[in-house]
Amino acid sequence: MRRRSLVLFFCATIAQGSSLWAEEPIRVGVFDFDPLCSIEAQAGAFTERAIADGGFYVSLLKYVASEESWTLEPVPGTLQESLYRLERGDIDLLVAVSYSQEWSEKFDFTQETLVSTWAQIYSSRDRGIQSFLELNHMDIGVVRDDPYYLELQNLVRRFSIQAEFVEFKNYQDLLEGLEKNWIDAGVVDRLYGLRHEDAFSVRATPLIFSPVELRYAAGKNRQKQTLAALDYHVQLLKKEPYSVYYDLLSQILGSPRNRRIATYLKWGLGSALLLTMASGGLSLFLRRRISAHTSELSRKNVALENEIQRRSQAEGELNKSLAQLDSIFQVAPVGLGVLSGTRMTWLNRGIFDLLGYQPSELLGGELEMIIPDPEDLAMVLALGTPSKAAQRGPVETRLRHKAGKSIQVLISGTPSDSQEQDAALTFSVLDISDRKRLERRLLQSQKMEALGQLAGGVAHDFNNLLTGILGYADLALMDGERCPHHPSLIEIRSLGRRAAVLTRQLLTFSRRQTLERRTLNLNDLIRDTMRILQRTIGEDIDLKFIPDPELLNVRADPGQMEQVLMNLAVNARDAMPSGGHLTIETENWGGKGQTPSEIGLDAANCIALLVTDTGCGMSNEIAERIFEPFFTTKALGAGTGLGLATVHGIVKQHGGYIGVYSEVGQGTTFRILLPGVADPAPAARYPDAEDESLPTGSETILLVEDESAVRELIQRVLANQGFKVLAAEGPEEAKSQFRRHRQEIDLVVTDMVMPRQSGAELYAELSATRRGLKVLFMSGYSDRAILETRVLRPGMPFLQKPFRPLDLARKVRQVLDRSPSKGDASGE
Amino acid sequence: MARADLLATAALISLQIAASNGEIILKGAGGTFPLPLYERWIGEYHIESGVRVAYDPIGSGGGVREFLNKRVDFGATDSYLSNIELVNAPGEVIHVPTCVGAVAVTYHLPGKPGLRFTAQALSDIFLGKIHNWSESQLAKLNPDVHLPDLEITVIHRSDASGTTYIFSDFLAQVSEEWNQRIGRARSIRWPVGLGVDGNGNVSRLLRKIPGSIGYAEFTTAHRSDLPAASIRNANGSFVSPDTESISAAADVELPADARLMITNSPAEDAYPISSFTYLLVYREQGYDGRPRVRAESLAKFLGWAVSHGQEFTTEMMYAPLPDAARMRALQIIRKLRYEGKPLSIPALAPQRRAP
Repeated sequence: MRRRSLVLFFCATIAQGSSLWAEEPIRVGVFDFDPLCSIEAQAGAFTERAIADGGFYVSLLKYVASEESWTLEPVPGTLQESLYRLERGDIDLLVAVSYSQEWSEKFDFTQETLVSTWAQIYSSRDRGIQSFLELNHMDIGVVRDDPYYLELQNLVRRFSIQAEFVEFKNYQDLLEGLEKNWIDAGVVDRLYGLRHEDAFSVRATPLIFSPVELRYAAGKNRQKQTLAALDYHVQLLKKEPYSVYYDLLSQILGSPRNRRIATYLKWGLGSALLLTMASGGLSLFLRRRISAHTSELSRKNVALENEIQRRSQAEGELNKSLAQLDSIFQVAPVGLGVLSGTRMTWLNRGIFDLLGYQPSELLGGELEMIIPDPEDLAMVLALGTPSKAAQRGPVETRLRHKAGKSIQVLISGTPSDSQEQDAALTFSVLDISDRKRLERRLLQSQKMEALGQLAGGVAHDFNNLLTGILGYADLALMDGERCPHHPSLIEIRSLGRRAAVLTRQLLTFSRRQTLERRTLNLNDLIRDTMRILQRTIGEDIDLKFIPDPELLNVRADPGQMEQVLMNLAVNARDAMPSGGHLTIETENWGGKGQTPSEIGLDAANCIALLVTDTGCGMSNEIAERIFEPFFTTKALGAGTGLGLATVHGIVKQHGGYIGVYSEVGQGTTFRILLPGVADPAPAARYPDAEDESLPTGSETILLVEDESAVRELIQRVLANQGFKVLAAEGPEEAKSQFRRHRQEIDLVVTDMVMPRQSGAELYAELSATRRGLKVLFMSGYSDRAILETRVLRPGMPFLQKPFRPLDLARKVRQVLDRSPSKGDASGE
Repeated sequence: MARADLLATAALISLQIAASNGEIILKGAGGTFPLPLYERWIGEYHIESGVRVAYDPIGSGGGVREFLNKRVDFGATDSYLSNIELVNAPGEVIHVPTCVGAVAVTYHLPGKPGLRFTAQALSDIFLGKIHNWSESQLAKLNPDVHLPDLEITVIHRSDASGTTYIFSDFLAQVSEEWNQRIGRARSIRWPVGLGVDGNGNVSRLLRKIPGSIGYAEFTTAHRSDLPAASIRNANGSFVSPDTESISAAADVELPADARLMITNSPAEDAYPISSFTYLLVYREQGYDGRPRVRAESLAKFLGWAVSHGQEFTTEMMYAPLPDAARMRALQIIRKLRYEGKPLSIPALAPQRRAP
């Protein structure tokens, strides 16, 4: 059963291959070689009707042609002419060519031998010839162009026989000549002899030579499929005892008796020859020569058998290595294929896996099926053109998955070493979707880096300006409502603060925000923020908080965490324009589900913050991009595209992980994982109500600030509160001031970023001469590089610009009140 | 045949003797057309000069091949080399005409009647258009002969042969159909008949097969006791081959290189299938390290052949070179060089003996 299906498959393959020539006739060389082939019948132009005409080989070919729907075009000539034409490619196929090692280098042959035949020496009726040596001094009839003629010449030369050859035009003339005693012996093909010997008064001698296997031959590598089809049919016909093959064979062999003898003779050739020779009874010398030739013949016979065995072994090994090769190709992690013309004739599993097709759906199909872009298609096909292929590198294109999505791939190809008429291409397909994604990410991070630097730079200058604006506004507002400009000043301060929030956001998403992390409990922070959140999202949305009472503490910047909650809430609000539910949950993540390994979080000590809305949700494509800055689904002008990017930046900066799960129409859940800590939360909570009173003091403060507006503001604020302020506009002036007032100075308040020397470096220099010198750094621009310097260790007092006079006074008071040894920020 | 074998054996033996003595044996190969005469010459020359010459009768085609491959001192051919063959030769080749021969049309019929043929009739027979001796075309040509109702069997050469060239050249000149279908060549794809090697085998087979017709070098045919037909020449006369009729065909001015076909000669009594036969030698004899003495020996033999050797031609049923042709032949032999310089051979001085 399995064998049958295999055969059917083979059959189908052949049919498919041969359909290529359906239009083009196969040019068949025919020559006279009665009864195997004849050019007489060519008048019938190889019609099916005249199937029995043209001799055995032509008839059989006609049968196969009708099975395969081939068109045959006979090209008559002599054997020599036909061989020449076959070699030049003027004909496609030649009938009845004797197979030999030598010729198989020149031509391709069918595997199957259709007829084995040999030369038979005939003598006239009244003369019996028993041995080759008796041919000495005889006139031997041969047929011009007959391959046996050449063989016989070699033979008589080897046996040192003096014989004269008389060339006849054909076997019939030869047998006539023999009958009339014009010649003493004649060489006739045994098949012809079997059919015609009775018509002449001649006698078949026991002398036979030159067994040949007659097959169909084609030009080297020109008609492999045709030969394969012939082999296929001949194999089938040989298995079937009543097939056309045996019909034709019995026609040329005559009676079954002869056939039996013929079969018998087929294998007894050599021995028969030797026996007749041995019976010659000639001189010892000659016998020795014969026996030398005999052993040579049997040696050759053994060599032939060995050759056959070697070949079948080689064939087995070849099949094995072909199978191995095939399985290697099949499991290769890239797609591999072979194209004939524009059709995909062979594809490996890699391609089917990549594109989601079944083999039957793609094999034999047009390449167009998977490469929708016509320009790319042309470029891929051009890879199969030898002259063009060398100039072309791989083609980057998109393949169409069965499901419709497109897959970015790189296709390389090289022209196949094929003699087929259509250009053939062997190609490989590399899925570069991941690579492209990574490239995009790299590009994105480079963009972010550049944007961060830009934002950082702008924010630094902006913050200096805002510090001035807000500071002076605050100072002016201290005059109270008596001032006629009070409402305007309130407005200025409000706008300034909004500007400050923007610059802060800019710094945050580019992760250049300086964190003021401390140990806190998110539950507390969320409860404190609920009121503001509810106000932000509006009354249509039901806000619910489900805290985990056992929630671990985290080390986080409370302001940043508020920002996260705010931004997520705003996002949820926008997803639920007609209301819904917003649920905030906290829980200890440990032991629940899996933590994405890439972020390297300790799952057991992780807390999760889940923010779930019942909004419109989003597709996977959008979900993949929502954390990108400036990516927004909102209408132009409605969103900055910074909200979720800021969230992402904050979470990442806290060493956490953020993920999103969303279903269109159902809602969205953001999940934030943060590393938990065992430290208890400080008793002092994040203050939610501000004490607006400014602390006072009388200490001496060295103020270093290159921006004069900010310097003067700070000077005024601190001086108002009773501090003695020594102002310096740069490190040099600061150092000279420090030298003069070394013992008086209690605190250095310095900008971080200044020309020539940074605040940190300045402090390092100053503190080297005065141990325990207190410092407060300020900056509108905070870079991780700065934070990582030894000088500004975590916990060192730092004031982010812009700041309010209140913040400044409080911070200064705080630092001054610390114990002289450098404390830790967690102590606050 | 047997004689040729004997001679070859003798030559072989003498080669072995000569080799031990350091004597020179000149080697030649070529046509069977002049074989009877050359055999005679070799014998006579050995008696006269002591120099041995070995001649291998392998046909003109084979002779040319051996000569061009420089395996022999001289080649022998009845059909001179074509311009293309000369251009492709490994050196400057000169043709020395040695005698004039004829191709006889011969046949095996009871009573050995003398027959007359036109080129047209021969063309039809050898093309297989006339199958039987009793056909009217032949009867008309031979009104005095009773031609039997006998199938014609054509016998032709199967090897590359100068004889074939001469015969086909004659037919091609006269019969347009022959010219179109077959043409002239040393090897021909014969439409009918039996093919054999050498003039000797043609004659032998003719004797064996009643009703056969073939062509063979005249002497060989004559020795086989086969009749030679009269052929109508360009002048309209039926002429049979003999020394006179062959000489008549050769009575022409030879060109400087002596290459000339004399088939279908317009001369009144000329036998139309006549031909000069040539020995081929390289003009520069100092090739492949040949010793000067070998070159001189060859030149002496050539000089002898075209002078004293001519005495034996008639006897062997060839025609001697006409005087003018002999002078031309001597001129040509004098062209021989050894390392660029003329070979000084006293025998080649312009003195001759009448044939």
